[in-house]
Amino acid sequence: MTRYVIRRILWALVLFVVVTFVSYVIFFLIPADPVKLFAGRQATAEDLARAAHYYGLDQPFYVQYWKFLSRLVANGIIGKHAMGFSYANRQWISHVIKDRAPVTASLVFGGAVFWMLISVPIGILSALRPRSLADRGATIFVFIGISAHPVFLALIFLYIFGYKLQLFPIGSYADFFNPPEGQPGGPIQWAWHMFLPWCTFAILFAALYVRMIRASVIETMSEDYVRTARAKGAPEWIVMRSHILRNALLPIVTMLGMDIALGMGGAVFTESVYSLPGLGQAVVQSLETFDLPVTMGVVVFATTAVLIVNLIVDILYAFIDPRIKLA
Amino acid sequence: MQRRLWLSIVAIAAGLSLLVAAGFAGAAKSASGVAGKAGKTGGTLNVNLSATDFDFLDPALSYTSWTWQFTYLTNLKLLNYPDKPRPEGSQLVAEASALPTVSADGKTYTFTIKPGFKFNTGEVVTAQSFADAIDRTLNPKMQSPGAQDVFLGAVVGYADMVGGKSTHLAGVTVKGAALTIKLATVDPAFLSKISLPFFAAIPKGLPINDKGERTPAMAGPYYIKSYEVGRQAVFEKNPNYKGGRVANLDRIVVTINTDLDQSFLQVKSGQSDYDAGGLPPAQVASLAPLLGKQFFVDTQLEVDYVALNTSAGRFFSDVNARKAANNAVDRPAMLRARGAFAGKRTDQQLPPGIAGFRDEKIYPIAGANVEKAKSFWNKGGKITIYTGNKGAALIQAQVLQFNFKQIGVDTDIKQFTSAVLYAKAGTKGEAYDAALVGWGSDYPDASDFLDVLLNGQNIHDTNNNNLAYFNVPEVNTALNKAAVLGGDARAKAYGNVDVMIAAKYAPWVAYDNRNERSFISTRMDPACFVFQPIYAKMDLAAACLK
Amino acid sequence: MAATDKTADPLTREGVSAGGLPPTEHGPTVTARSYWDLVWRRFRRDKGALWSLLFIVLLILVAFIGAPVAAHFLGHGPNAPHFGMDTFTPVGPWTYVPGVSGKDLLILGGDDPTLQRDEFLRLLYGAQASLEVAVGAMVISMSLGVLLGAIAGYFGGWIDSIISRLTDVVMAFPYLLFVIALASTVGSRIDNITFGFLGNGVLTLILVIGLFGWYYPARIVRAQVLSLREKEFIEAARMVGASDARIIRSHLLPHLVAPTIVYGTVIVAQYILAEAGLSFLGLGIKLPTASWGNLLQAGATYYLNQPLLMLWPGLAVLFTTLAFNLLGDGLRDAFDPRSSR
Repeated sequence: MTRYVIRRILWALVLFVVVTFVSYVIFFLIPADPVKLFAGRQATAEDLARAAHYYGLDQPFYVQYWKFLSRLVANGIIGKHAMGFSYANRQWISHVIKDRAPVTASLVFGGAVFWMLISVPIGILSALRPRSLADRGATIFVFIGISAHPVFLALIFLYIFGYKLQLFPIGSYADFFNPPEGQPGGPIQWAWHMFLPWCTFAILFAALYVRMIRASVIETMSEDYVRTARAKGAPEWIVMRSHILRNALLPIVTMLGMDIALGMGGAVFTESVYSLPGLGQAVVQSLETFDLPVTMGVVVFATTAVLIVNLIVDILYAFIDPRIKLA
Repeated sequence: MQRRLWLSIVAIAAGLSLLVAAGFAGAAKSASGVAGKAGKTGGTLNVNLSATDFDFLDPALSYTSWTWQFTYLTNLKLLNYPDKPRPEGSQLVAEASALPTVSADGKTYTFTIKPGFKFNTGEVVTAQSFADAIDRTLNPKMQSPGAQDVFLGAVVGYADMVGGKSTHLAGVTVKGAALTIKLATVDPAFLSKISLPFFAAIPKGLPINDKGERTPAMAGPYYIKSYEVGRQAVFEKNPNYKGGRVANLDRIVVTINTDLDQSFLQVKSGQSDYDAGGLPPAQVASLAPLLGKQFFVDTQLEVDYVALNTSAGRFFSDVNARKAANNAVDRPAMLRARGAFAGKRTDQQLPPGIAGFRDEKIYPIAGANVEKAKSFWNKGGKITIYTGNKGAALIQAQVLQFNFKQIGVDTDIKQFTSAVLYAKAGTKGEAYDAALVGWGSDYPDASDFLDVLLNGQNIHDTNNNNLAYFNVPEVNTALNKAAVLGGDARAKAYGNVDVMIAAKYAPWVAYDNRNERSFISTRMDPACFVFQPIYAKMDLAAACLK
Repeated sequence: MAATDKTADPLTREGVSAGGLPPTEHGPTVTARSYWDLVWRRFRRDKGALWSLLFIVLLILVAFIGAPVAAHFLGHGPNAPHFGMDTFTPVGPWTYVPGVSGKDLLILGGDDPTLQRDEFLRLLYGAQASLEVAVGAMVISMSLGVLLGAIAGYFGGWIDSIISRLTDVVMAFPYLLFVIALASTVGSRIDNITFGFLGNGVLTLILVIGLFGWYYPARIVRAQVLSLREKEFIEAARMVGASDARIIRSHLLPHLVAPTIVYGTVIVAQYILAEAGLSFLGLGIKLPTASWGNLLQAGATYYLNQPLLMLWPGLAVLFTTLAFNLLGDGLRDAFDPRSSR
């Protein structure tokens, strides 16, 4: 077990180095004139020199990368000096991230709850009654869910539920804690404002999960221990609860950890249509203003977050399911 | 007053046929409230600022129309424009100072600061507060747009100050309540210039910071309670303000970077009260029935134009190519892209309303004249157009693309956000042929258009406003002569230069003078609606709730 | 490394992982014709997949042949504006507007109040751009994936380790964020490369979408090759002295056709979504070239006055993606009957 955990952590470190290197290539090597992009639009010659020095752009690329990486590590990714300053925004990147990460977290975690609420009952139901009307309905939902574009769904939801029926607020965000003065806030407002984004965000994953849960439950139902339990005369609901669901949902729950991480990328569309001030919107705005430091900051932060979540999920999973050691 | 960032609102605007527009503009004027009338006081106004953020709330650095709408609330100036519609709203009146005394040679101005003004921190406003503001804005370390020579270039000691040789402007002296400013050369527009927001009172020891102070203490009727970049700003009534300006609302909460379309629906449903970022062009026509009740249209001192890069070696260095462009561009289509009530077509640099403007029919404003354009240019070619990356600017770029194609010229469109667009186009030697830009006046005078935008002597390496890089000695001389004139002679001289530039040199394709379109929620009282003509926006100090 | 084995592309995780295997009984004695015959018989039974195939074939015909033909008969192109309409709303469906050649018919109306370009033609031409991006990126992803997967599976050892680790690394990237980041920095350099037939920005999208998407086909193919390598007919070929290249070409690649087709189909669906998303964010196809993504974005602007404009491209994307997904599903079942429900 210890060996596995150590190996897993070492691998995460390797990934971190590679991923930051690729980010570095994208943001510092590909642009024609990175100094100008990083120093902001009204940069004086002095500013340019300062920015060039700060990022080490006047040195060979491996030195640059080393500087970039060591600054990240020494400042703990979200420390003030980890990624520098956004000139277009007049803010530290770390501030932008800390300010916006909670919004994205609300969207992603709330969305995860939503897609589980949708997919677990539908998945189980369609597994129990294959080829029934419910199952066919579920199949249609799955195909539409994986084929519909989140932007399109968001626009349709906004049009119907926000504008036509006026059931939900139109594209704004309410903080859960400490709303700014004079603004709606608190848990109820927060949930009300997030309801449509959650639905939009959850549909794709809900579709995938219905499929997975259905397959997993069908597979588990044909396992020997289920047959044994039934043969022993255990009531159907006990078989269902203690044998089938427990075993069928375990791998799904692990998958959840990973998808929450993946979802951070997908949040870009949901956030931009519903104007949620999250990391995804920050990326889109930074692209529009050529604010490369912010784009880079969010990409590096999100990637690292994904790595860490994956690491934690894997290690937890190793504890829950000892078979993993064989792998 | 606003300047260059005008354009991002470009993103938002739109167009009508000449006749209809004129008709509405007339209607709108009568519809605007009678101003300054004491409305109901108190309450919180929820404002959205769509698709953008304040550039700076620091008075020395802010230089966008939408920020000036708010700094107008927080700034205390020597002289100010009152919270009233045209014509009073365009005339300077005494604010912190009595009207100044001017020496016989017109070179020495003495302002006497009235007692009783205080910053929101309680600090007393003195003559020094204004002297400090001037020194801070002109300090080269601030990199303030207010330091350009077109503004205080005439004051004694200006060159030393911006050259970094001095940290105090020699021509400015303080003696008790008296602030004296000495000019090296006569500048008839000086009072307009010293009344720019850059020179509003600042508290003692406000740091020199080229990234701007986020919430500087202010002495106007409102102050900046909080400002979270990219999210929200809160303005509250300054408890220490004892001046004469109205301040009906207790508090104004600005939500930043909202979505234009969604914000429109929020105002419609009363979730929000007003969008300072503008209106979605596609929706403006639907507001016609609300004209005078929730919807107001007022003319701005503004011009939208396609700057044709006249630099040597570029396509438009040939005057015939520029005249061809002026004939080829479909001005009604350019205006229509901004939606209904967007403004009035033009083919000249000066907007109507600026003293000296004279309407001459130089180029076709009823639509493109392809044949005439071809008579100027039939050699084909390829050009690069710089434009904004949102809404109307994108559509307009495609209109231009089509128009140029009709005279055999291919176009490559490059899109930027307005900030980047102006920064790039403002850099000498940038490889573009045409840029879709706009200009709102800083103060109501022809020099703010012609000298600032077309005097070749003002071309620098970066941060240029002369985006056509237009530099013709004949025009420069005429402009320099006009600048020192006063009164009618000044107006006439500028008017002549305006017509000469358009007819003879055509460095721009000017296509419209914009209207400001304001849409307010039903929570707001239309009787309190005041269009402040200088800031070209709804006056938030005069606004009130029902 | 259990950790990474569990991760998969969310869209297809379950879709193909089990599928794509040709029937195991398939050996050198069965002729190719009867194998394909078998596949076709099974495929034909799946009505959804059959209709999807028909839809896709029609879509391709309509996009690449129908669009120019329609433009010819309508007398105007997809980028031709109709100025001078006295309205601030895009004109509605089936409207005649004054055009260069007298009256122009706009079947689905105009796309914008000022430009009033033919939404119908733009949808058809938009299909070109969207399909070019999706198929182009698919070809890149699949070529890279099949190549790397086959090499890793066939040679094993350190080559396998390196390629497998590389796959794990690419999988660790938040795909969309990196595509966005890359599109933003690389776009300005290659947006204008068209090879004479692509729209501006098409190549950028093909590259950025394609280059990050190869890891999943690589994994499928590697697993496939690993199992094939142990089969008798490969051993036999090796014994008679066939070169590695010959074995790969004549004995391995034919067996990879099925999973490649299945996964290739599903991946096109994803890439159509990706194009729409990136163009919606303004990172994709450059105006005035139409693509479904930028039509969707433009349509969203008029959603209060002309909601149909947002519906057309949205539905086009939905149906096309759906067709590719259903086709992929049907193909998987046809190639591997065990995977069917």
